[in-house]
Amino acid sequence: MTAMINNRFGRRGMLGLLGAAAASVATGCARDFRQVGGSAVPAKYHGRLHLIAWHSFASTTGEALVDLVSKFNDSQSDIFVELQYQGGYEETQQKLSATLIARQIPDLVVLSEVTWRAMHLADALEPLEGYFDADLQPTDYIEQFITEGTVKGHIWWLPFARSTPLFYFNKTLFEKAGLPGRAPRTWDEFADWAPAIKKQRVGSGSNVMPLALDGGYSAWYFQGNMWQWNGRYSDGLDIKLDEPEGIAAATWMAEFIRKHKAAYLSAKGSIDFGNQAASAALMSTASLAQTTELAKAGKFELGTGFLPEHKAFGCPTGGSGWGILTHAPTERKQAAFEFLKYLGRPETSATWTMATGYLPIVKKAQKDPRLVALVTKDPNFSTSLHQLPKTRTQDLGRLVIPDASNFMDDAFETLYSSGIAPATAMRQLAKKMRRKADLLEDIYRAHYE
Amino acid sequence: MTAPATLTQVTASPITGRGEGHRSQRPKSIVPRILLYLGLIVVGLAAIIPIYWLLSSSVKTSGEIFVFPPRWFPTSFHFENFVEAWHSAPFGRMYINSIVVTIFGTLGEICVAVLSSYAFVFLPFPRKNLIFGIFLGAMMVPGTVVLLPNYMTVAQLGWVNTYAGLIVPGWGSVFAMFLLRQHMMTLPTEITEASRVDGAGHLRTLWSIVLPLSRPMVVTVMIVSLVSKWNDFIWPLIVTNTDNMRVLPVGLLMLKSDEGYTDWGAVMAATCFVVIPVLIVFFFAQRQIVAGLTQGATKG
Repeated sequence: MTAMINNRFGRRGMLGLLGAAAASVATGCARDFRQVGGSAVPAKYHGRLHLIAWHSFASTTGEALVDLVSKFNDSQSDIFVELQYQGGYEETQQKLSATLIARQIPDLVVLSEVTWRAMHLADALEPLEGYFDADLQPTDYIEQFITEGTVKGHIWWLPFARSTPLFYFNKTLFEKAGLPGRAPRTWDEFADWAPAIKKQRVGSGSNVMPLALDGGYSAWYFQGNMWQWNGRYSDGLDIKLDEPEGIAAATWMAEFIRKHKAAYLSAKGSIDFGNQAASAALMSTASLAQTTELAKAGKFELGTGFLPEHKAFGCPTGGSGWGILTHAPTERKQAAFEFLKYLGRPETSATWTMATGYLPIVKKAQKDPRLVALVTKDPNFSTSLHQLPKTRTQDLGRLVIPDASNFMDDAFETLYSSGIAPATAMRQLAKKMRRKADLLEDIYRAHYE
Repeated sequence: MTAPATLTQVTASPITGRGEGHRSQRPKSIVPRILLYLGLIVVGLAAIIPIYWLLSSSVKTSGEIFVFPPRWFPTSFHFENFVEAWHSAPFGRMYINSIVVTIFGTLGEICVAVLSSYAFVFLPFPRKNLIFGIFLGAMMVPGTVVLLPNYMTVAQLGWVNTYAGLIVPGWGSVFAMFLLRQHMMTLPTEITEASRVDGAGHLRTLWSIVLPLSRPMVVTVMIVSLVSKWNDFIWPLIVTNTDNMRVLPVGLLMLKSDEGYTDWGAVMAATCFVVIPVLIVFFFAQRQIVAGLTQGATKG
């Protein structure tokens, strides 16, 4: 492809272009960052500061964000925020990296719990602690969420669409199997229940599997298991997942799958759970709305509970938040923060939670009458709120090591679906992570120590 | 870029799976014939079931899609999916964009490929084989690798979020050039020599002699290019920012969220928007396509 562009421009043109690119890279800041192109500003918003915000929310979630943004645009007369959808979190990050090199950037961007770390290491994000004022203080946010975006006293990333894993179960089926209509308190209890669940049949189908494990994000869910076994993925960049606790956690799950035949790797756990091929699944809190609908269609009662414990409780936070790009001009960064302040208002946060199923991001939002009404009406919704104070930020290994979130998922998929010895699986994964962590060491030290 | 994958898509399509090539060697006795038909039915079903599932799911309610055991026939026709899908992204605008990008992209790609392959076959210039080798090398480079450099080039030109940015980078296709070159190599040199004796220049030779003789291959290249441009996803996503410049495959993404709620009925309906124009093109051009593809298979 590049070769053919060569043809079109002629050799000299192309050489000139390359030269220009090389020169602009060499001189670094000589050329300013420009705002990436947007649409024409609607007439009623003319004369305002035009901000461009990149996001990764599709479907109903995307519509909910569009609503929030148009309310923000109408709520004041200085700023116009244009939303631009850029695909999923990883696609957005990929595109942001490209635009940073090309020096054409948006003003603010949605980044996941993994991708913001990369942008922070690339020095692309603006420290936000100086922007807070009487309207919004960092302490207004739910503590888990705001500390996750804070490194060395600077706030880089503000929470927005946050979620945690949750234990979903089929209450009707549990009761039919003679079990209590609640989530198992410990994994061992669940293992005791498994034989009774496996005897159940739904329709003319085969026997019910106790637990479906999702392939996507499996390393996110397993972060909980690591902590439950008192292990961890890493301490900073120091990889710990092949220590005895980590291997014990992996071994328990491997035996639950292989010996008890009580869990399996599912292509889409939510669907297997929805059509009752599996009696329980670990899923995001954000899946509650869809799962409730699936349960209604499958005519069973949905139950939710905290993640099962082993030696301790463990549950990671996940999801995404906003970052402001440090290369944007000061007045636009200031305006971008005004938008984030709007999102941090309790009523906005509650509206967003009601529309999407993501957790509220500020403490006061939990007292919003609409949310209170929802919690009393649907006890499943309150489960995630009650679990929230016990959750925490994942170990940095998964978050900062490039591509770790992907290859760790692969490793756990292999553990769940093959006969590999758990100790071997964890050692292989740890080795790979250490190799990648070594490459990252200098830049990590510069940003985190 | 993604041409090989597209080729398999094309060959796996139900229309090409009709087995016309078997006519000359039709088995005489009854048993092999039954086996042959059984095999064909299996292959046919394998191709048709996913498309049937797509079409039937597009008129099911969300709940009905997931029911196990699967319901093969929708109990009622839930056409609201189409309305909902149409409103959840600016599909009207995306149709226009997709059509513009596909048509001008394909035309440009064919022009570049025809001219460059002609040059490689009929024009003498130094280090021709070396340069051709470099081009072939470029074909081995996966598309994702050139994504960033291409984006930077397009950004330098100020083409981000424009039709030029969507279309022009796709004009250079080594695969198309390679296919055409291999075909042109098989043309007898006597014909081109004769035309030169008659006083035809290169353009005349290309237009009146080489192109008509290469028609089946040009059609093959055109179809491959048409389908890959229509389905192209990652480049349009990267190079455009605003919804009014987006193409259909990106529109599909807007219906599906990673976490949280996905209305699969609407996703299926929107997928129909994307698939149906391609199916119609196949329907009208299937003779040409099959001829072109088999031509490609024997001459490539």
